[in-house]
Amino acid sequence: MNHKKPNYPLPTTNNQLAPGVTLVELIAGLGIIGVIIVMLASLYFAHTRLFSNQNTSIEVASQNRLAVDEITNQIRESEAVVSSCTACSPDSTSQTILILQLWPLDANGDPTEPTTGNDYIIYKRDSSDNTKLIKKIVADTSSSRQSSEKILATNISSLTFTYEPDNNDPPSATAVTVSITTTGKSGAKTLTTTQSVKAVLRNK
Amino acid sequence: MKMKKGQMMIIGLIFLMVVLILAAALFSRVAGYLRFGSNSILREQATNLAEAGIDRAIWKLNETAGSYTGETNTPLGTTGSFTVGVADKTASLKTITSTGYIPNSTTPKAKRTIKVEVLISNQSISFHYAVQTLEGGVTMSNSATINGNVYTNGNISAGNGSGQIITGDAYAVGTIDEEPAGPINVQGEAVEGAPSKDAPDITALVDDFKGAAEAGGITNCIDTPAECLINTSRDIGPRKYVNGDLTIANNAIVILKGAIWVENKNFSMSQGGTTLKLDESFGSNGTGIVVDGKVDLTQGGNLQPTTANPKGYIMVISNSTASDAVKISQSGATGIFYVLQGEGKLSQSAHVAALVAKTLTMLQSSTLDYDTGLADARFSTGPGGSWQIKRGSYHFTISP
Repeated sequence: MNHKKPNYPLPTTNNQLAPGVTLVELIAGLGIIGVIIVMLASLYFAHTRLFSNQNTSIEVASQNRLAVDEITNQIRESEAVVSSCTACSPDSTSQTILILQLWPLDANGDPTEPTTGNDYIIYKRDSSDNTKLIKKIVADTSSSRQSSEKILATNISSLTFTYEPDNNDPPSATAVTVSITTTGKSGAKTLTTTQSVKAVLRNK
Repeated sequence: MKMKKGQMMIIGLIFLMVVLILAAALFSRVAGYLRFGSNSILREQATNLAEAGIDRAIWKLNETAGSYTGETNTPLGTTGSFTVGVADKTASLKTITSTGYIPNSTTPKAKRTIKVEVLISNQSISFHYAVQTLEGGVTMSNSATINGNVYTNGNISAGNGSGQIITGDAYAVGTIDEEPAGPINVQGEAVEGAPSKDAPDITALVDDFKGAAEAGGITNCIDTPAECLINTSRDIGPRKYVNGDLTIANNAIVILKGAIWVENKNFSMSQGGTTLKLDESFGSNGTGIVVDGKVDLTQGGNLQPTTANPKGYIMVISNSTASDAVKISQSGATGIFYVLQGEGKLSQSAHVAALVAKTLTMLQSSTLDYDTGLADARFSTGPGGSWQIKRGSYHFTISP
């Protein structure tokens, strides 16, 4: 064979390419990187799952606490539990609906003796989406309290009111126990928080 | 290519960093929730402290006859402290503002303020005259003295003897045996032919006294006779006594804590040192003893008002129609006597603050000393005349 001499410098013994990694070294390196990636991925997914669980758990517990705090404070400020009121229709007090009667507020936000009528606050689950807890304010015309309806908490799975001394006679109640259960889903896991708090009607 | 020395350290650090970032993300979320939960508990504790302040203020108001004005930074254990302020709205209505601090008021982690109005249930009855009688009139004998004004729908007559004095004005629908024609020395204005005047209406007050007495419990004098014959110093009232007379004797010093109702029987006090004193917790409010029968203070015995200014008085009401419905002698009965259907008889140095009767007879140097505070005498109708939360006024507020 007639070999033609190339017109570029051939490597010499003094200017050779560094030797490459062997196949074994390459496989070992890829293996190590793979192991690290698997470890990181498993850590990440474990964390994500934990984060999601905790996030749901915190959300469920927070919603519960917010609802319980709000309702107990309002019970303390109330003068009576009433069966119903004209403007509250069709709602009426039961084991799942609470209607509180309060004095109207004056311009300074202080309770004032009713002249034309009382204010009422209704706590109930939303009829169209019963995971929502609704706070409905029915204010008298003389009151500086604003009539409104808003969502107080979500993820509600149970709302129960117990009246003392006679649970079958809410208007005679001097204290009300509020039990709220909130439930949330994280993946396939169901997380639940239940709180029960008793509040005395200080204005009764 | 060869790995240079220290590259594994960098890889390790990166790995560690990723782990830390993930852990920190979770931790901050959990810490936020824990803080939220902790704050919620602290707020609840602050609320309980503020309520403790309200309860203490009500207790102190009842202990000090309404003169308590509040306190600052009162610690409750090691949990926190509360500050209470009491402001007058009227004589019988006050506003209490109580703030609970966790753990202290200087650097509070949680603070809650509750405002509430407290009232003492009372009724004002005006006794404008030392003596007011209906058609039966007033008869004064033997140096009897009325230090105050007199109004009668009958006559003001002189009985036996001389030296009778009325230091104030005397009004009579009928006639007055005034000097010089009669022996009575009227030092103020004497008006004969005055228009007829009704006695102060105490119907509602009597009902309230009866209700308060009954609410305090019922003593059956047949079952427990010792409870109806009080010989030793003790507290009584509010209480209703049935089936027997109520007697206080043997120089006992008895503190009246609430209204008394002696149903269908009589009330008497005897011996000079025997004292029925209105409890100081009534302050300027009084209370009543309703007696369906007669009242007899002829053998001594004192009724004492509170030391407050104006004083709180004991009002003794007799429903008897007898001619001796109320008899008082040798007594310093500084109380108000009301006997609209019967006759009052004062004799032998008896001292009375005010008297309303169908008829009044004053004998043997008896004296009526009218207190100007009686023009607006206040009487507690609640049990024990206590300060209580005004329904509807309890509320949370932002500023102390």
